[in-house]
Amino acid sequence: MIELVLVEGVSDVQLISYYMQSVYEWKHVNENILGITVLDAHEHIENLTKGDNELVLCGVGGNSKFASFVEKHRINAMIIEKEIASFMVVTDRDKESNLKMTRRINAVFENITFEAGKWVKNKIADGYGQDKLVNTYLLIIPENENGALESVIINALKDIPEEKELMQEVIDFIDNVKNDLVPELCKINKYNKAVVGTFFSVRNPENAMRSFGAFVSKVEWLKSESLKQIFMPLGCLGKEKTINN
Amino acid sequence: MAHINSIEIKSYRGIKALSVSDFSNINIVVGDNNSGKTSFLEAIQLLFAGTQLGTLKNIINQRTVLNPDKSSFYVSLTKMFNKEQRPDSMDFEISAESNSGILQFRFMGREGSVSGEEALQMSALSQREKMQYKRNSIILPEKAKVFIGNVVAQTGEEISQQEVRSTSLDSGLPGASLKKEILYISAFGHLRYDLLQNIVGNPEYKKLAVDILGQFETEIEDICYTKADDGSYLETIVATSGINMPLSVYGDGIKKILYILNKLFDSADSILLIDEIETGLHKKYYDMLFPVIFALASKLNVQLFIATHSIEAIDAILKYGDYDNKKEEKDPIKVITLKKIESKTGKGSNIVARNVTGNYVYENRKVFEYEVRL
Repeated sequence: MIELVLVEGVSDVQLISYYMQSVYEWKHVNENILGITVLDAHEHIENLTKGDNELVLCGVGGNSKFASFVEKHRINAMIIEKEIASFMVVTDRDKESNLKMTRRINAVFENITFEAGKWVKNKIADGYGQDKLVNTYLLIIPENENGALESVIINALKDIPEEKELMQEVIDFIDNVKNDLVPELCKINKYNKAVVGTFFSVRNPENAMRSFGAFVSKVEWLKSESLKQIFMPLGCLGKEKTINN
Repeated sequence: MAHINSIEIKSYRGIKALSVSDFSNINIVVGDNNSGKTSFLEAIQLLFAGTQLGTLKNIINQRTVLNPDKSSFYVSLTKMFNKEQRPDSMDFEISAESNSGILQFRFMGREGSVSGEEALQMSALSQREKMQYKRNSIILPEKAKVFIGNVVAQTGEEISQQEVRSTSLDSGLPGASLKKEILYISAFGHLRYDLLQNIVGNPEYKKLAVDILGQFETEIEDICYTKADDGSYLETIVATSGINMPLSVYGDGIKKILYILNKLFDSADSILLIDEIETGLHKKYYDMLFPVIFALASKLNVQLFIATHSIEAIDAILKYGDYDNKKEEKDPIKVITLKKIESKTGKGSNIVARNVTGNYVYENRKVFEYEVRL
């Protein structure tokens, strides 16, 4: 089966890709069966395979780029024409409600609908008028608080005994500098980015100047209960889904 | 003459029920082997066959164009009916909306078994052929099959009916084939047919044909008929050197181009069906040849149905749509993909169709691996 996942940016793709490989044993491959390739420098695509299943992870280039990505890549036509078994959208909550985010994502798609935190079975007609099913899932992170991928990562690192102490030191450090030295860090998104960036710089100083992609593989994410909880729906990819609706 | 806007096919060959609408002037018919492309083109021809049994015979025989096997005629006729769907009934129906009104062709009947002698009496064989059977030069089977049925054809308000009888001894149906109202180009027809008959008598067509051929072979100066030593007329190409060469010595590409042009010139205000347009043509000539065909078809008011397996041919045809520049105009191209699907019960199959615009195919092929052929 073919699974398609749209996420916001490069770091989302890298974290999910690494998580799927290390926890769910998917393997990285160079090309995808859907033929999706990057059309600009902000997009990032990784392709995974597990048995006969293919997972295409697309970073659309930012929170505001879902609609343009879907338009440019003709995702709505692809849903009709290709055998995509399920389709997940992963997006940062920031300060939005589930309702508003669901409405925004649903406005982008023509024949399928999403619900936050829930698999939905969409019965649609293919190009030949034949019925087919596409399962959808809208994963909003963090699940129950404001924030973005960075806050998910911070919570995950706090869960991991080997990382917990360093994370607390970094948080204390950022707290110390934010008021007097870097007032910009009073904004929660900037604060979280600084915590994550500082953490990985200290944790792996040899890679301090590299991108998140270099950091992500240095952490044993499977030890994080919070990450396990939030990424639980990803475990359904490549498997038959039990959906009661 | 009619162009068709839609077609509905019921119980014809492998097609249980198929409906395709919104045809354009250029319709590309694509699909895997055994997906029903040739059946689809035959169905369009049957709409125009009326009750002419000679035309019906020719359509039945089209599939064996290079290797006519007279003994298989009866089997070919009965294979027109979808016995998988209706084992006890031989009945198919094709209807269409055209700019001349409703077109309908229904063929129904039943099959039975008779003695060889009875079959001989019922058959459409000539007296000489019947005599050969009686003289035992051909073995008369003890039992033979017989089909008795009717063709009912409707064109606009006019409805006609014709009885059809055929036996397993027959090699055809009685009656001459009148001039067809719709023309068909088979994949390998360029190897058999007269290729110049509609070209050489018309100076404008001839100049156009010579100009196109000149892009394949720069030495071609003229095409004509020349008289052979035995008094027959040969299709001939005249080279710039003044040397005449029979067309038969030229390669498939030249013959295929002439075959298409010859039929196109004869299809004014009508429909031309081209099966496997790529056969005999190298892809490097598509960009040169196809725009000429489409411009000519537009000028002569010919509706085209082109079956192809070739993705290069599809891409070359789509170039005619000029989709990067023309966004709002009516799309001149439709792409009809036929696909055989197995029934959900696991018993039997049907043919289904996807009908999309050329622009839809062009845009999707640009950004993802849109498989138009399957």
